[in-house]
Amino acid sequence: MSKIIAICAKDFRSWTNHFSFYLLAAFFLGMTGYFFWSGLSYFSIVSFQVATNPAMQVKSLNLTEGVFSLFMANMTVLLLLLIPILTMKSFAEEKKFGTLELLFTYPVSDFQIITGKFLGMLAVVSVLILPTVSYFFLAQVVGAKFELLTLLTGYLGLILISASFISFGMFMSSLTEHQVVSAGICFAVLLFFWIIGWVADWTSPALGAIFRELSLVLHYEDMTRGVLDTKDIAYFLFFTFFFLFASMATLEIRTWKR
Amino acid sequence: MISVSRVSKSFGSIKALEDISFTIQNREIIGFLGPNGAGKTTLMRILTGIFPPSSGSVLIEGKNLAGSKNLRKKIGYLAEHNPLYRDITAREFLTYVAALKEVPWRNRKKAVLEVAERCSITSVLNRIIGKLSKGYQQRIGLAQALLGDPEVLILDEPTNGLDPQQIIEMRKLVREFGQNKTIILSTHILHEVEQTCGRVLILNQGRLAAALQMTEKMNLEEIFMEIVAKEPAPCPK
Repeated sequence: MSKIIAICAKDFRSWTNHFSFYLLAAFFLGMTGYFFWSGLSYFSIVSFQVATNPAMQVKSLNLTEGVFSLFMANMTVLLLLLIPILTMKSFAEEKKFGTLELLFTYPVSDFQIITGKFLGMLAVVSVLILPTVSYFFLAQVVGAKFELLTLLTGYLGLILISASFISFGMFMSSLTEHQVVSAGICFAVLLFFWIIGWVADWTSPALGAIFRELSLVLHYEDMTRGVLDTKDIAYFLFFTFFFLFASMATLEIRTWKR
Repeated sequence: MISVSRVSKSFGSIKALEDISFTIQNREIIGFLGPNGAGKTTLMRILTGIFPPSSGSVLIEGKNLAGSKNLRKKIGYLAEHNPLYRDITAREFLTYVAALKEVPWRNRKKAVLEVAERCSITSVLNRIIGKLSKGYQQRIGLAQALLGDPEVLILDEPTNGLDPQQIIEMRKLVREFGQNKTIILSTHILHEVEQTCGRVLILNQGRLAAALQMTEKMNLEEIFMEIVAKEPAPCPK
């Protein structure tokens, strides 16, 4: 366990020691702040119009659907861009500089390496995400009260979907020693999983069901509305563990007797 | 004691090592010599347990190294080109290595300071590794190998890229450690072997060409050239 913590802490440090991390964080917080502010402003205008114009009928006008859900979706698209950039280092860089080989000479198992690196990356992403919680408390100043349980469910979903991105990004990084290749392919494939659900309604019912189940976004959407479904959680956990396992398999290839 | 018996390793169709056998006694300083591409590094990687041989076995104190995590504790490795994490400080790096090498939590700080002192890097412990000179980086590499007090040190071209003064210092360190550790050292500097090693293994094209006890009068250069000339490396097509 202490080895997992050591690897996790080291990976966390090597990101946060780097100036580029603060640039990424500034970009991320700036963008999410903008999303939140514009979303909330738009919602206040719309709700003002509804309140003053009796001819307009809006059935479900609430903060969760109108602001929170949209905000979470936008933030996830940003993470879809950022996480491949964060995870590309995890193995590709170590392979390139030869430090992965050094790691193999220590009394550490592949499982400990993968778990440590995954948790380190998750910690880095959490540091990016956590400050955004403050937006919802700041919004209370202007009278926008969000439900606490909805927030919690939404952020649980965000952590789960980030874990899936990280796990896949690490797998891509374990396949190559070129960081840019790893980030590029990771982004392309994650984007594919993101948009695959869009066509679900137009294709045949059987195919549509498959697309719907594979889609990252459809599993995530419910959680941002405050709906907690074990099916969605199981999907993200499966996605995460599958690619962590795949990364472990790529590390093990070196021990094959060819 | 390390005993290597009938070790072969191939990468796809390329045979890197073929049928190599030898034993190394405790507290011996042994040199691996050979032209580039002779298989020195591959052999060292097998000895450190990075990957197992395609056939044959490596036994350390009678136990098979392949797949044994605990045996790896007995080995300290300074890899070729000395890979290090460039974006953390030397202290962070060494503490990290100490944790991975199972140095108990309470002794970690002390262990790091101890190896830092032995390798004279105490003054740079708080600097980012990537910004240090090559000599210091090489010594940090040596310090990480020494952590956990391994019985065997495996050094792959430890003087590569150092200036003359640093080379002399590194040799001095190696001889010093050789007093209570087994040291396996690879190099293609003949002079270095003459100065530090008690025995030398000459590798050529993946095969063990000679195993010689070093003596005063021996002309290593002549022997080496003879072996290499017998079977020159094939021209790439």
